[in-house]
Amino acid sequence: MDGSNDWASTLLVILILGSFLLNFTDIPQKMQLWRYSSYIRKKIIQLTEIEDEGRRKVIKYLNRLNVENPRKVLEGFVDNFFLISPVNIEPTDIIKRLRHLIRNRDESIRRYVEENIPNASLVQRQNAEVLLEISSVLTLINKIVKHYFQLGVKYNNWILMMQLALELQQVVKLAKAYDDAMDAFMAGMPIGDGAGPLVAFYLKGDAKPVRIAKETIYYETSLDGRKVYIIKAEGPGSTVGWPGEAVEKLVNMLGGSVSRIITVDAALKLESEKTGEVAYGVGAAIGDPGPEKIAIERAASRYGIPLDAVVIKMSNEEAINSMTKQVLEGVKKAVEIVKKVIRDKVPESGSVIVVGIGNTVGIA
Amino acid sequence: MAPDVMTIVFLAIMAFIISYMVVTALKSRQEPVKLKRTITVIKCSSCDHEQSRDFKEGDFVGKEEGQCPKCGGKLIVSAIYVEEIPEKV
Repeated sequence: MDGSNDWASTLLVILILGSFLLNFTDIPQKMQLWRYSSYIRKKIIQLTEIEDEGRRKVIKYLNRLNVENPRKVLEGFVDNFFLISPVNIEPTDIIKRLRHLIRNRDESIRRYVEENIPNASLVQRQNAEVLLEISSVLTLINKIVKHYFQLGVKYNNWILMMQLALELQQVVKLAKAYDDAMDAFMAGMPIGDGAGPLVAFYLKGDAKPVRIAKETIYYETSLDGRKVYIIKAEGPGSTVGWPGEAVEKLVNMLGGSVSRIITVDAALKLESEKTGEVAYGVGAAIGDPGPEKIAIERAASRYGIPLDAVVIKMSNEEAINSMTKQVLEGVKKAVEIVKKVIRDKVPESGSVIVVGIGNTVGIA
Repeated sequence: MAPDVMTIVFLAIMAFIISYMVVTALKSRQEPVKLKRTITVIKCSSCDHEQSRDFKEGDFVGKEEGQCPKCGGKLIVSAIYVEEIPEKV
């Protein structure tokens, strides 16, 4: 037998064996399971580091506010204050029930922070609330990832493991964005989601604020003979206010004689879109779970008021992190668009409500 | 003695696998750290005077920052934003 026959037969044996192993055994899946689980383990370590880093930041902030036992305050918050969604197979009053639950939760958090950080200012307490919430979210993300990982290992579920491994890059990116967002809240800087309140700030001019709902104010100003009412959350602490209730009250106060309601908000961009792009449409631009949005829609439909939406596009990471220059440029464009809508669509001596939706941290 | 074909094929496959693993590992580590700085923009409420400086803790949009050096009007923080510092080559 010569050398060429020898390697050809060896290759054939390898091919047959390889084909048998690949097609009739679980070995490839086991190998993938092993590969993916090792990748997920590394990512879990990274997520744990991000979670710990977040906790360190909260403790540092609470120390700055002279809290006696910041670790205890943090531990008392994380994992608690969850919200159970209202029954939805009976939809009657679901919005009322959801609003009631959301406000109950907000009130419990506010009371918890007030009790544990009694000597801080309102702005500091509002920022501390958000920091505690972010820390809680980081813990939750880490727990969910660990849960699916352990399920995958327990049941040798390589499909679950593969799905988790493929999703993890995005999950880690989101967790990192939350961790970075803490710096903005600690320093009290405007974030991307503050685009709506910043538009409201630029439109208000020198007008004085009037409280209309909890943590929500309105300004009365004018533009080329049109009366402009501007609603935003009360800053510069971290809050989104109650814009729905504010619009409802203001529309009722004006007896429904409002030519338009314009909502301005940050919107998540698609991957192909650029940060800071501004789009104009119809409807209530607000990303709440429901109660605030429906309040705006109901107020508008009760009196037949056209509802306009102006959105400033940005990624999820940009929305929760310090405001970038591109978002700021978008805000300036949005201000001009809102002014144009008012000039073109609101009759002279008519009135319009502009609502700047979003978190007003760092914006008075 | 010249190596047989099987050895060459085996070595080529091994070289491909190792270089693929090295490239993948290097790629995953090459995450450039972007340096950023936060700018506070201050504008006069009466004239067109505008100035900017690095962000200081306690700054917020709408904060009064003293008097305008040009006209004596109120200086107000009008924007706070983050920008990337371009990398030096």
